[in-house]
Amino acid sequence: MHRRTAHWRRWFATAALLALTAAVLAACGGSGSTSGGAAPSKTKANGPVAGTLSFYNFLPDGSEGKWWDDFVASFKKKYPNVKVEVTKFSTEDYWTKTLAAFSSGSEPDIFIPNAGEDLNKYIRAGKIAALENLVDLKYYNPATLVPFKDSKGHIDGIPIYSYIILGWDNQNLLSKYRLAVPKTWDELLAACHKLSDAGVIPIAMGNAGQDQFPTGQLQDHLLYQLGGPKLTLNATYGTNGAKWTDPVFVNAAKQMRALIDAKCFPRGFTGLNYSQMSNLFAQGKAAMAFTGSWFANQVGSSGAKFKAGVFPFPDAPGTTHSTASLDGILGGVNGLAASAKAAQRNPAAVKAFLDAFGAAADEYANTNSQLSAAAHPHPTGSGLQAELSQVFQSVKEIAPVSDTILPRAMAGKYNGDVVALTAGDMTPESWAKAMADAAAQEKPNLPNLG
Amino acid sequence: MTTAQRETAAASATAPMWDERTEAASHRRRRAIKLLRETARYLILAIATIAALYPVLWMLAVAMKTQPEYAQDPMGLPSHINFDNFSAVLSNPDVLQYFRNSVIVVGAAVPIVTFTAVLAGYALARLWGRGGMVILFIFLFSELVPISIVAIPLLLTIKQLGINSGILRLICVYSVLMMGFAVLLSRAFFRSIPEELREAARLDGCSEFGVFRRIMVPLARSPITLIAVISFIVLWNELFLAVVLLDSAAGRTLPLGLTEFKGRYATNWPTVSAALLLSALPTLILYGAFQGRIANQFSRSTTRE
Amino acid sequence: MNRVLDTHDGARARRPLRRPRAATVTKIAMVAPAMTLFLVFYVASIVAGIVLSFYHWDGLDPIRFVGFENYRVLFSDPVFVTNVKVTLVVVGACLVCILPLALLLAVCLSGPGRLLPLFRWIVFVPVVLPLAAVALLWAEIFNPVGGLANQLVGKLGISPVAWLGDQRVTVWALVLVSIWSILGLHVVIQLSALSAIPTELKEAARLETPSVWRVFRHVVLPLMRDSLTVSAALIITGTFVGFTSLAFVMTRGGPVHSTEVLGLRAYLEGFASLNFGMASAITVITMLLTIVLVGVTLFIGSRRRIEY
Repeated sequence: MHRRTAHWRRWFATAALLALTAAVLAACGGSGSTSGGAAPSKTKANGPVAGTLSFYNFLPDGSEGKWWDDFVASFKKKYPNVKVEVTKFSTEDYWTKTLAAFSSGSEPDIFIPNAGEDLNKYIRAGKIAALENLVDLKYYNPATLVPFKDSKGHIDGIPIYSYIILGWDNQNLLSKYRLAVPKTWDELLAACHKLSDAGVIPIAMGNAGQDQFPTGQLQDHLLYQLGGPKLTLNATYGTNGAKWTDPVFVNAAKQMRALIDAKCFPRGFTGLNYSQMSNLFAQGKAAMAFTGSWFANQVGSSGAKFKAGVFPFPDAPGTTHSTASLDGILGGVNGLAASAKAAQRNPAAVKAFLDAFGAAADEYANTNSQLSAAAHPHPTGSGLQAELSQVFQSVKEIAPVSDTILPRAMAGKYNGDVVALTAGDMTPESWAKAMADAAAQEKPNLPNLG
Repeated sequence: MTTAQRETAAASATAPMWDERTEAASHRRRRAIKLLRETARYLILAIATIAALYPVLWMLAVAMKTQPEYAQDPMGLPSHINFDNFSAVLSNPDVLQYFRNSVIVVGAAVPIVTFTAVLAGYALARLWGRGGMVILFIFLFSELVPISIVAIPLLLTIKQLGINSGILRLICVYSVLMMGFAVLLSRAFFRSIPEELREAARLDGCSEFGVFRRIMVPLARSPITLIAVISFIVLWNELFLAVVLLDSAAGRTLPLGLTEFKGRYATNWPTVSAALLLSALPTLILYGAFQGRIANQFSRSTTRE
Repeated sequence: MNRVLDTHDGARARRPLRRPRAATVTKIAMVAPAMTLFLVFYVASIVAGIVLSFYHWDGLDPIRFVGFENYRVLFSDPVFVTNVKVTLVVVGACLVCILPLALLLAVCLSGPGRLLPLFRWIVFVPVVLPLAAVALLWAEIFNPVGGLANQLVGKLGISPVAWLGDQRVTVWALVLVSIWSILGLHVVIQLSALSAIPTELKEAARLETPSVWRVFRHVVLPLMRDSLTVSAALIITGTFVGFTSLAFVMTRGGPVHSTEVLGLRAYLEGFASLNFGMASAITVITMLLTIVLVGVTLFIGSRRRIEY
C-alpha cells in the first residue's frame, strides 16, 4: 500500500511539475518585450538610423501584402541596424487590436489608419506624432495631406493611397443589352428596369454581415449630391445649422429607395456580403457596381472575363453638387501614422521608414492598382487604374465618407440604419428621425472635434 | 404482458400447431421491428453524415481552387486537384512559428485545467455540502460570464500584475476559460458514482484523498479524457482572447495568425480555406484518436454485491 | 435491483450524512488550485467590469463617473428589449432542438459496431472547425444568388430568400448554423453518459419489459439527467458567447438588430461605439440573466425523485 501511494504521488507531482515547467519555459522563451523595448535613443531625426520599429500592417493580403513584405525587406537591407517588427492583422482584428494597444500603452510605432475618426481619436488623446517637421512632405500630392491635418494645423499622417467611390460597369454586358453607360438618373433607372426584366443584376450591391458600408457609402453619395460634403457630421454636431431633421436627409433616403424600387440591386441583396457581391460582378452576372477604387485590384484578381470600366454616378433629382460633372466625388485617404512615443524614442528610424515609403509611393499605387498619393503620379497599372486616376485628377473636391468622419458610435449606427432603410425596415422619415434621436442621445458623449 | 405473450398464451390453449406458428410469427415480427430500428438508425446517421461533411468537403474544394477560379464559381468543383494553397500556407515561416506558439500555450493550459478541475470536481461532488454550492456557483458564473466578456478589464488586470509574456498570459487565461466547464463535467461524473464506493473505502481506513486518487481517478478516465480533449479543441481554435491579450507578434497563436490571410476588401478565400482546414487538422486527429476513450462503454458495474 | 437503481441519489436520502473532520483540509486543498487561478484572473476582472459599468470610458479619454446613467439609458432603449428577446429566443430554440437531437444521435451512435466510431468522428467534425470556416461556408450556402439554400427552396417552389438579410428569417438561419456547429459536442457528452450506464442495468430492465422505449424512458433517461443538465447549462452559456461570435461575423447583429444577442450588443457598445462603461453594464445584466436561467436549469436537473 505504501509503495503504491508513493508511486502515485510521484506521478502526480511529476505531471504537475511538467505542466509548470512548460509554463515557465514558455514564459522565458516566448516573452517578447512589448513595443518600446529599446532604451530611449538620443539620436536626432537626422542621426544614424538604428533601434527598433514596430509596424502594424492591416493590408497583409494579396498583391498589397506582398508589396509590404518586399518593402520591409528592402528597408531592412538599406538600414541593417533597425529591427523592424511587423505584426499583420485582418481588418476586424486590426481596429480592436490597435485600440487595445493604444489604451493599454503599448501602441505600435507605425500603423495604417484611415484618415478621419480612426486616426483622430488617437490624435485627440495626444498619442500621434506630428510629422510636418519629421518627414519629407514633398513626395505627396498636397491634396492628399489635407485629411491628415488636425485642428492645430499639424500633419499627423502621410497618405499611402487615395480612394474614390463611383460606379463600375461591365461593358460587354451593357452592350449586349444595347445600353450605354448611364449619364443621367433617368437613364440609370431605365437601364435597371431593362436589365432586371432580362434577368441580369443591374447594380451589384450587398450589405450583409460585417460589410455594412456599401449602402452607407451610397447614401453618403446621395447626400453629397443633394446637400454637399460632411452633412452627417454637421447634423450630428449641429454645426452650420444642420439638423438630421432637415429635408435633405429624407430626400436622399427617398432616392435610395427609388433605386431599390427600380430593382437596381440583386434580389435579396441585404443577404449578400461584400465578397459575394464582388464575385457576382466578376462572374459577369451584374452589369454595374458601385464601390471604391480599391475594387480595381479585385477585378484584376478575380478572373473577370470582360472589359470593365468606371463611371461617375449620375445625379439624383435635386442635385446641387454634381458627381456626374465631377464637381466632387466621395472618397478618402489611407495613410501611415506614427505614435508620439515612437517619434520621441527613435525619430531617425521613423523618418527613414516613412520617407522610404514616400519614395516608393507611386510604385505602390501602380503595383496595386490604387490611386497614387504621389506628387506626380504616373499610373502604369491596369487600364482601370488609369481611368480612375483621370477621374481623380479631374474632380474638384473629395467628400469624406460618413464612417470615416463620424464618431464611432454614430458611424456604426449610421451604417446599420441605412441597412435597415434598404431592407425596408425603416422609411426615409423614420430613418432620419432615428438618426436625429441617436445624435441627441449621444450628445454628452460626443468627442470634442476641436 | 405484451401482445405477443398474450397471443402465445392463448394459442397454447388450442392446438399445438398454432403454438409453433404463432411463436414463429411473433419471432418474425420482433425481427422486423429490429430491422426497422436498425434501418432508421442508419438513415439518421446517413443524414447526419451528409449534414456534417458536405460543408467541409466544399471547403476542401475551395481550398483547391485558385482565386479567379473561386470568384468565378464558388460552389462548383475545382478544375483539378491542386495543393498549391496548402503548400503556400505550410511553407510560410510565420505559420510555423504560430503553430509552435499554439502548441506551447495549449500544451500547458490543458494539463493545468484537467488536473485542477478533476480535483475540484470530486471535492465539490462528494466532500463539500452546502458550502460547495457557493463555490460551484462561482465556477458556474464563469460559464455564464466567460472571461472573454471582461476582456479589457482582464487586460488591465494582467498588466497590473506585471505579466508581460504573451504566452504566459494566454496559458493562465485559457486555464480559467475552460475551468468552469471542466469542473461542471467532473462534478457531474463523480456524482454518478455511488456513495457506497467511497464509504466502503473510508471504512477500510482510506483517507479522503486516498479515495480520490486510488478509486475515483482510475474510474474517471472517460471524463478526464473528455475534459482534456474538449479543452484542447476549444483552446486550439480560440481567437478573441489571443487578439486582446497579445501585444505583439511574439506568442501569436495559430488562429490569430491565420486571420492575416483575410485582407481588407478582397479576401483570398481559397488560401484562407486551406489555412483553416490545416488548422482544424490537429483537433480532428486528436479527437479521432481519443474518441474511443470518451465514448467508452463501461462493461463492469459499479456496485456488485 | 432496487439497490442498484437507487445508487444515484436515493442513498443519500436514506442515510444520515456524516462528514469526518479530516475531510475539511482535504476538500479545501482540492479546490484550492482552481480557485486561486480564478480569484486572481477572473474574479478581479469581473469586479473591474462591474465597477466600470458605473463609469463612462472610451478607451482613450480619462474615465468619468456616471453612476447609474448607463443602466438608465439601457432600460429606456427599445433595442435593448430586442436584445433580450432575441437572446431568449435563441437560447430556447437551441435547447429545444439540440437536447433531443443529441440524445437521438447518441442512442444511434452507442453500442458496438465497426462503423460506429467513424460516424462518431464525423458528427464531431463541425465542432472542431474554426469560426471563420463556419461563417465562410454557411455564408455561401445562404448566398441569395445561387446558394445551396435557395436552390433547395427553389425546388419547393418558394421564391429566393435573403437568408442573412431578412429580419424575419436571419435569426433562424443563425440558429441553424449554431445547432450545426455544436450538436456534435452535445452528442459526445450524452454518449459519454450513455456508455457509463452499466449494461446489467439495461439487461435487468429488459427482463422486466421487452419494450425498448420503456426501458429507455424509465431506466436510461433518469440516469442521463445530470449529463442533460450539463448540456442544457452549456447551451445556455454557450449561446451567450458562441452565438455572439457567430452573429458578429455573419450578420453583425443582423438586419435591424434581429440577431443581436446581449453578448453582441455588449461587444458592439465596447469596441464599435467605444462605450466601455455601457458595455460593462450590459455584461452585468447578462450575468444576472444567465444566473437565473442556469440556476433554474440546475434546479430542475437536480431535483431528487424516488424512482421505485
